[in-house]
Amino acid sequence: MGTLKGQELVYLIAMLGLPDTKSSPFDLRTQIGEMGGISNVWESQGEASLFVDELRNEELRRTEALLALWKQQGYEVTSYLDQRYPDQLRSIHEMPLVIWTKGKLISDKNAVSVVGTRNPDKWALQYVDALVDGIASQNITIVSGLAEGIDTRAHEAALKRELRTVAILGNGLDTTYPKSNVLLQEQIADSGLLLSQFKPDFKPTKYSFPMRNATMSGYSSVSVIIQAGEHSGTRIQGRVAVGHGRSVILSSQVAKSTEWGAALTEKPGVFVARNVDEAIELAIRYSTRVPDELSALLPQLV
Amino acid sequence: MPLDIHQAADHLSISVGGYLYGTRRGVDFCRVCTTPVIPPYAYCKACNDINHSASLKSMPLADMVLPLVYIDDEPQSKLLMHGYKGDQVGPEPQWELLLSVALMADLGLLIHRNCIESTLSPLTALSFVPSTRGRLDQPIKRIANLMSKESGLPVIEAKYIGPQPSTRGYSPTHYEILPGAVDPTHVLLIDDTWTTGGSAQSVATLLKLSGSQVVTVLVIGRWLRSSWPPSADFILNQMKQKPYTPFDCPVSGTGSCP
Repeated sequence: MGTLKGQELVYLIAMLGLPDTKSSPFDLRTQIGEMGGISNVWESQGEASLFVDELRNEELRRTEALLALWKQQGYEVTSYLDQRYPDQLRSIHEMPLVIWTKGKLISDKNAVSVVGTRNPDKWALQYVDALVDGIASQNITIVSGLAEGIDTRAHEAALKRELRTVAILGNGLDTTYPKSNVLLQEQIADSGLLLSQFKPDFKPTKYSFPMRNATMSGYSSVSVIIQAGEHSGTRIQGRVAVGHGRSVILSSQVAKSTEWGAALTEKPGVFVARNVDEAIELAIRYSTRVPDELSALLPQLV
Repeated sequence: MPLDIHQAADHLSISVGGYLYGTRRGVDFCRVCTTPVIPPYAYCKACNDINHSASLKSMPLADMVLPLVYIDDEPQSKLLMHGYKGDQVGPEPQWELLLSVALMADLGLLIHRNCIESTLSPLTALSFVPSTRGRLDQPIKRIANLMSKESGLPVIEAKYIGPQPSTRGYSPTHYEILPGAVDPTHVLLIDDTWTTGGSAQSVATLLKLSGSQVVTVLVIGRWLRSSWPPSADFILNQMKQKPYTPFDCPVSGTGSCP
């Protein structure tokens, strides 16, 4: 796999932005696979009418200008067909076709998502600190969503211990949500990575956060859910992680006091940590998605 | 180092157990391919059609077909079956998906070899359904080679020689068996997915015409189409009660081996 030719990236981003592209990202990915490349799909969609062609050309010009701007802003734009695209995201069906990143894009094989409520209790904040402390000696990346509460604490705890941390955003890179995390967002970009599946000027919506949770699950080997309520958005991450073949660690609070947490414990790969020490042990064990003995088989398969 | 079956099984339970579901046997399922049917019908439409074409020409078919899991319209299971060979995820296989598919096939044989052999006869060789698109170094071939190394069974190679683009139906003349010195008495034929069974049954017929007495087909996934009403009902109400584990027996369709 090489790097996308510049023009193909322009076509891909332009297609995502065209209102008459009926395809979902999933259909578009299928189409690109079946038609043998982005350029072929782009060309096949042309010449529908003069009006459509005008729209397409306009979107191309706009995309080219934006790519130049994003470069100036220090954003890196990577498609799922690029070598630099995080490979683990290619194993989930919601893989974003394009990601915008700021910071250091590396493979992050051993990534642990630490997530939970925006309104944590004191015990939950201490739980986050102890968890991050406990895994700090390992080569593990702490992933979270830069939301208030548990997410913010997870990023801060990682930064304090000089652990790599990755924030996966529910908005574009130009925006900070919540506003109170402006400084934190800059610090993460400096020493870790900001990753968004949305165009930089995109403002968050109620749909973008669940989409972001799917990306977080895919980016990470395991998701640790520390404190959450019955209607917490975090429940989505537990559910999608199981559907992605990722392990999930629930604190006893989540497993006992929410219906969705209790239901999740029946699923393969879901573990309940009775205390933070157990959570540390499980997080370290499952931060490696594939045991070394099994990945040793790969040379025979590729 | 030999494969640690329990470690591999634990890995599979997590990596695919959350979205794949084990196949069933019994009166409510096609005798050949495990697709849901409504009794008294014993076969699904696709298998019935193949049975019919084969019997018109007096062609022998596979003795036993063992799909490990059902693949439904859920996008993650589709991604697995495409992405393991590099389709739709870029030009190269996604390695974790590839490893999962390989381990499913490998454990299918390692754990259930006795079930197959006590039901039919001792296995003597492996084979695989070749790509109809002329890909030479196909992932399924490498998976068969890995299984050969783990099980000690030698591989008989088949090749697609039919028209391009390929047709889906049952047509044994579109394949050929490459010559070799392997005992073909009971061949385990490996395939990734089963849609109509046309290609797997074509190769099974050909193996039998070339000297095999018994052919068992081991398939990773049986695609279920929700456009087939018994499948739609099964997907909605029953399928998810049985998450895939490599210990569930594809021969008996239950948690215990025959």
